[in-house]
Order: sequence, then C-alpha cells, then structure tokens
Amino acid sequence: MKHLIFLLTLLILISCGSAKKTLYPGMYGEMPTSLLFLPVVNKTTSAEAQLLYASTVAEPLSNSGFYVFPIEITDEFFKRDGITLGDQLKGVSPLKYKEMFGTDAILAVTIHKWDTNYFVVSGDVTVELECTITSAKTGNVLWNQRKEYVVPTTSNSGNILADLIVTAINSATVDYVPIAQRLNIMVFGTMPFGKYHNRHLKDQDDIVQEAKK
Amino acid sequence: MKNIFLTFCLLIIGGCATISESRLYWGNYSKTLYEYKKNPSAENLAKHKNELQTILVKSKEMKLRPPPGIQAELGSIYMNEKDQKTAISYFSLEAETYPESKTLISRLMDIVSGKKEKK
Repeated sequence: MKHLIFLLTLLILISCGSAKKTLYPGMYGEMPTSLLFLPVVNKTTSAEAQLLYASTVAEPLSNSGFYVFPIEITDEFFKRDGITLGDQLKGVSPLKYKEMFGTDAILAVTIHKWDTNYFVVSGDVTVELECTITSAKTGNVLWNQRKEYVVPTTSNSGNILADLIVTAINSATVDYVPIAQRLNIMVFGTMPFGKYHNRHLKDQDDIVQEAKK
Repeated sequence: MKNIFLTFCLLIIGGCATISESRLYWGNYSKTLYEYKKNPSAENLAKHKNELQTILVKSKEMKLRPPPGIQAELGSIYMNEKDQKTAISYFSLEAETYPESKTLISRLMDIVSGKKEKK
C-alpha cells in the first residue's frame, strides 16, 4: 500500500516535469503585459520559415493573456527605419523599444534550423529555435531558450495504404500554417499567463510537462 | 485502494494540462495573413481584410474581447486605402480595448492625420 503510493507519487513527478515558476523565474519577476515581436533572425535558407513564424506567432501568446503588438504594423515601422531583417537590430538597446512602441518586453527569435522531412508514410518538420524575451524597462533577459522541435506533418491513421496516399498528396502541397501553429504551441504554450488571462499570477505552481524532443 | 489509484490517475492527467483554453477568436487569421504575405495581391489583401472583419463580428457575438492588434491592423488597411475616418475609428477602438497600445496608436494617428512623425 505504502509502496504503491510512493510509486505513484514518483510517477507523477517523472511524468509532469517542473513548476512554471522554476521554468520562468524572470517572467514572474517582472511580468510584462505587452510583447513586441522583433523581425526574425533567419539562419536557414527557407524564406517560408520566417513568413510562417510572422503569421502564426501572435495567436498563442495572446491566448496566454499578453498584449501582442500587431506584427504587420510594427514590421512596417521597422521598414520605415530601413530594418527588414532581425540581424540589423543587433546592438540596439532594449529600452529603445519602449520609447518607440511603449512595450514592456520584446521577443527575439532566431530560426537556426527548418528542415522538412518526408518518409514513406509520414513526414515531419525539424525546427531549431532560439527565443529570448527581454525587458524593455530594465534590459534584463526574462526568458531564453534554444531548443529543437520535431513537428509531425502527417497523422498516422493505422491504415498504411491510406497514409501512403495522404503523405504522397501532402508532400506536394503541405499546408505549413497548422504545423507552424502547432510548433508555436509547443514553444510558447506553457508561458506564464499574462494580464488578460483569468489565471494571471495564479499559475506559478502549475506543472509543465517537459516538451519531448 | 481503487479510489486512491483513481485519484492519482486523475492527478497525473489534471496536473499536466498545460495549454490554456483559448478565450479569443482568431478565425483563419494565420491562414489569410500567410497567403497575403506570400503573395501580396489585391485579392489576398481583400481576403485578409474580410477575415479581420469577421473576427471582430464573431468576437462581438461571442462576447469576447477582440484579439490584440486586430482592430489596429484593420485600421491600417483602411489607412492605406486613404479612408482616414474609418482608420481613425479602428485605431481608437484598439487603444480603448488595450491601453498597452497607446504609444503605437498615437504614432499611427499622427501618420493618418498627416502630422509629420518625429523620429
């Protein structure tokens, strides 16, 4: 009996990973309300990757309760200043963005890898992302993570023939928007809840399951 | 005994739920924006503009706050179409819904009203 409880407790600990407050100490320390997306730094040869990122990143972070600046407009302002690539922003003080946009924090993303793989009955996208959230008030780094993610592009129905056909069709015209959306949930889905979420500042002890590689 | 086991199972499942329920309606925003960015044709812009309007209508119907940036983005499309009045009304709505957007909106207001922006 005692052993069983012990075993089950252990299971919970193993299967569940860590509390949010230990994963995002900087975020809870300052708790930004608004987030500005900087133009992405794309180290891959895929122009698709940055388009997909810019089209899909707002949704998960706003669902987590942050005010996210409209990327179409902020990118336009950057363009007016001659900035189209994230690389051009190296060395710019984070405090400058507070002055320009009134944001609490900035999110800088570097895409290190964007590989699409097709196998006989399945496919996936392997993405390596480096994400940094920096305070625009203090210049402190609030969160930083560099990680590789594998997002399947096909679902396995169990019927090999059907999967084969689906994959063959898919590899010609894969719709990457839902894949990018899934990826964003993997990357940002466990972020502490912001001001517009009803569990804002009540989620420090939530347990986050470590994302599988 | 069985109960304890059940409780633990529930704990495992419940304790690991990480993704918050969405309380915003984003419709097909990502899809229409991506299509437009990939191929910035008048047709794709019209589709994206239509999607932004649909998101606002549906959010209202569901009594949800409009997603951040949507009203400002729609306003900027009107601004590019030289429809100053509609642009200003959407910019004001964004600032009302989200006070965090104040600095950005005042920059947009300067542009739409023809005031020279100081850099």
